[in-house]
This record gives sequence, C-alpha cells and structure tokens, in this order.
Amino acid sequence: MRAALRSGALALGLLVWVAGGLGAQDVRELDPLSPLESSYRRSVELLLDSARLAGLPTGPIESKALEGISKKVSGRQIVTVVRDVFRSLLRAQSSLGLRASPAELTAGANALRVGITSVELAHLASTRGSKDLTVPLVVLSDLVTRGVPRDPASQTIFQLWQRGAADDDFLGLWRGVERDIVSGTDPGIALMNRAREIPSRGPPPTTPPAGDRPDDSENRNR
Amino acid sequence: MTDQFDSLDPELRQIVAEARRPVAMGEGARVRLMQAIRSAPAPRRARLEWVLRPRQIALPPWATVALAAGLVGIGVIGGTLVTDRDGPSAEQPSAVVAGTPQLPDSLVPRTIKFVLVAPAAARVSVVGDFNGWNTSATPMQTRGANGMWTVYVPLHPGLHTYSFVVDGQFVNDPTAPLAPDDGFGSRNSIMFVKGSSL
Repeated sequence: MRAALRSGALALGLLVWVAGGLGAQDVRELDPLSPLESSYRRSVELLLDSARLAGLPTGPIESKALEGISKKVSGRQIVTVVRDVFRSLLRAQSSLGLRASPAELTAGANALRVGITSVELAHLASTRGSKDLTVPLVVLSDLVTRGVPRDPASQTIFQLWQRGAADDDFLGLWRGVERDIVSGTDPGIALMNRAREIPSRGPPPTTPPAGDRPDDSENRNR
Repeated sequence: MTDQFDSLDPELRQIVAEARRPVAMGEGARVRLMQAIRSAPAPRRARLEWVLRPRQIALPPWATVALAAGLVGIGVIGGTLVTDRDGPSAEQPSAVVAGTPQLPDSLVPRTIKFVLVAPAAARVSVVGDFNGWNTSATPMQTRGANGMWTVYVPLHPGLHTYSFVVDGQFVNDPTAPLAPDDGFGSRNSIMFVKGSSL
C-alpha cells in the first residue's frame, strides 16, 4: 500500500514537473519578455512604444532585450543596453532621413555605436540616390570593430560609395581586409591595399531630393 | 406466496383477483398482435454504447506512471512536429518561396544555410533576432566526423544579428561581418538578406 502511494506521488510529481515546464515554455513563446522583472520589462515596453511613435523599427530593440535574457544578463543592464540601441536608432534616423529602411537604420545605429559620427552618416546618405546603404554601413562598422582606424575607414567607404561601388565590392573589400588582418597585416594598411583593388563603377549616385535629406540641425549638434 | 395473498386486506385481495382474471381476446387478436410487433421498428442500440459505457480500470502503480509518461511524450512529440521550424522542409527553398508568390519581396523569406566548423562540439545551435535568441529553437546538425554543423533557416530580407551557441558558449560566425559590441560583453555576427528584387 505504501509502495503504491509512493508510486502514485511520483507519477503526480512527474506530471506536474513536465506540465510546469511545458507551461513555462509556452508562456515564453507567447510573451518573450516575461522572464524580465516587471519594472525592467515596463521600461523595455516604454522604449518599444516610443520607437513605434518615432517610426523606428522595433525589431532591433526587442531583439536586444531578448538577447540579454538569453545571455542571462541582469534586467538593469538589459534596460541600459536597450536604451542605448533606441538612442542610436533615433540618431541614425536623424542622419539617414525618414525614408531609410529598417535595415539601413539598424546598420546606421551600429555604425554610430562603433564611433562613426552623425555627420559622416549624413554625408554618406546625402549621395545615396536610390541605392541601399545597408551593406556599406555593415562593412564600415565591421572594419572599425576589427581595428581599422575610424577616419580612414569612413573616408575609404565614402570614396568607394561615390565611385559607384556595389554591395559585392564592399563585401569583397571586407573579406580581403579580414583575411589580411588574420594573417598579420596592420588593419589600416590592409584597408588601403584592398581598397585600391576595387575598380570605379561609374558616376556617383544622384543626390536625393531636398525633402529627403537628413535633419541638418541634428548633424550640426554632433 | 399463497400465505402472503391470504394475509392481504379483503378489499385489496378483491382488486388483485380482478387483475388476475384472464381477458377474453378474439380469435385473430394474437395473430394481429404478433404482426404489429414484427412491423414495428426495432429500437436502435446506441452505437457508441460500448465505448461510452463507464467502467473502472484497475492499474498497478507502475502502469499508471508509464501511461502518464506516454501521454506526456505523445503531447511533446506532437507539439514538436507541429511547431518545428527546422525540419527537412526548410531544405527546399523553392517551396518556401513558391508558397507565397503574392507577397512583396520584403516579406518573402529566403532560406539561409548556416555553417559552423566545430569538431570538438557536442551541441551547436544558432540564435538571433529570427528566433528570439532562443538557444533551443534552432539546433544545428552534424554528419560524419568532419565537425561541420549546418542548419537551414528561412529569413526575411533585411539585416539580421545572430550568434552560434557552442556547448553553451556564444560564438560569432568567423565568415560574417561583426556587429559592434553587443553591450553584454561579446560580439555577434551580421547577415544581410536581400529580397529577390534588391
């Protein structure tokens, strides 16, 4: 009788444990921010609302919060980093203009976070025409992250952009520089050497209409 | 029985005697009665009567545990099959794209192959903005002993931030551009997925 009771209790415990685990998983899928403590969660949700109101993509903000949860970072630190992402997106929008795509804004925000200035971003955006800035900005951020000095990196990307370089050119430049850095070349020299290999693709893109230009007042302040 | 009858109240005995008196029936009455019974539809038996009939089943404790575990297992496997995003269907990019021809390019997912060489790893997965950074959502598979881990993931056009998780450690993709410091002490990788018209 006692053995039967013990087995029954074990079965019940097993069921409760499994059901509890599945329940927690379901809640996480339905409400991914649920692991955050309520006050930090409220802060993240406020930032998401602010991003929506400002016309910013909310994906990078929510993704950063989820990344923090996944990496088991404290709620306080998650909110700090998420707020930083929000500010970067706002500055990127101000520099790249309201017609910048979510991908361009995300890439622009990343570039700002590695030290590229709003003025440099606006300079790049002012000659974008109908071309997409995402790949040049991704490559620029990567180069600075890998140790290429900021000014030469920014100038080289801008010159290539003006010479009509395509996405494949920028990605080829990135691969070459990355390979050279791994094999021991100074990052700045690697960039100079590899940039020379990229041929000119033709005239620079046309200047966008005046209404699409980024907010100059914001750029003057930076 | 007779004693019981005799002990009844006289009035009651009279009523019972009346009730017992045989009723005179006509010659064909019995035949008509039987014909009427034959022509009347037989009452239908409930088809699920046997299934629905309540019954008690006595199981030993070990069988109860096994039954409970089995039911939970069926539920988990069923749920996994329904919600699995990394199954073999992901290896058919044309099906993914052809299934949504009316959508704009920015909404049509492209199937991306993630590859990582990690010969010493026991478990590898990919996490990123496409799976909510869920470390168990997109496990990678390895075949043979070359240590190459792969997985196919449908991604919408746009910029994606991701990382590999090798035995619990976040590792950036050595073949992709780096994102800036993630703010949490490590670096992620960046992937730009173009729409078909980009």
